[in-house]
Amino acid sequence: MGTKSNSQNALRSVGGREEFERQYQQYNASVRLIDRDKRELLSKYADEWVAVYNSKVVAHGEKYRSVLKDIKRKGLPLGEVAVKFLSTRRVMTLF
Amino acid sequence: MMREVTGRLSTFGFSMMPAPAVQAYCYIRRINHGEWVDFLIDTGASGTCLHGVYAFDLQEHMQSHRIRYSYGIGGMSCGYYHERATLLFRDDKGQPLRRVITLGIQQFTAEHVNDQQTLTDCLGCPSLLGRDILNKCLFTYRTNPAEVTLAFH
Repeated sequence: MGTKSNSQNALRSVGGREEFERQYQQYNASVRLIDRDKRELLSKYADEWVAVYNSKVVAHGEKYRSVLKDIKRKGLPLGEVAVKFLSTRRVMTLF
Repeated sequence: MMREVTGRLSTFGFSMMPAPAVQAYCYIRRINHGEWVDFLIDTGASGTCLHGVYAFDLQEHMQSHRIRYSYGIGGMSCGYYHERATLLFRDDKGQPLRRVITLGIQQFTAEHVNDQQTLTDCLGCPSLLGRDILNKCLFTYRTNPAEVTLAFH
């Protein structure tokens, strides 16, 4: 299967161009919210997993599996939910 | 004509210096799976790869014959499932910009999942946008004022 076909399948998978734009705006806003409001989120959800969808916290918890379960239970589209761990550890270095 | 993709600076939830980041829709045709991924842009990574929660959620679909072993800077070896994947970036005109790559998906072993702290650390690791993509664009990165752009030919 060629590159063009792969690309068409990808766009079909996301639901077309308009849906691609909608999902991008939603996901982008959600990941940006986690950065922008990190201090406030850390005060509420320190060392927890936080799931954000449509710029709202839709699930949180100490274990990723329970947050994942919660997202599924609420029927939210998993591929569009921004999920991050809010760590209070002072130093985190990636090499 | 150049097509620009705008990124941002992100801490990825950790208390560390912000790093350049960009989002893309990642589609793996073999398993008909697509999701949005928040990538850390990493000029040190030879290939684009999924880590953390993105990789964890895909483990049940992965096939052992697709594993290749890679070494990190610290000498640690890690298994990655290799899959053909399409990345759809959103360019500044609102159009999808497509790139087909061989995507690495981190393998989670018993060593990763048996200890809760190790699992949390692994799940929190960001996915990396590597040189397979970066070699085909002009990457601009500035912290003050913040500017992260990928300009593709």
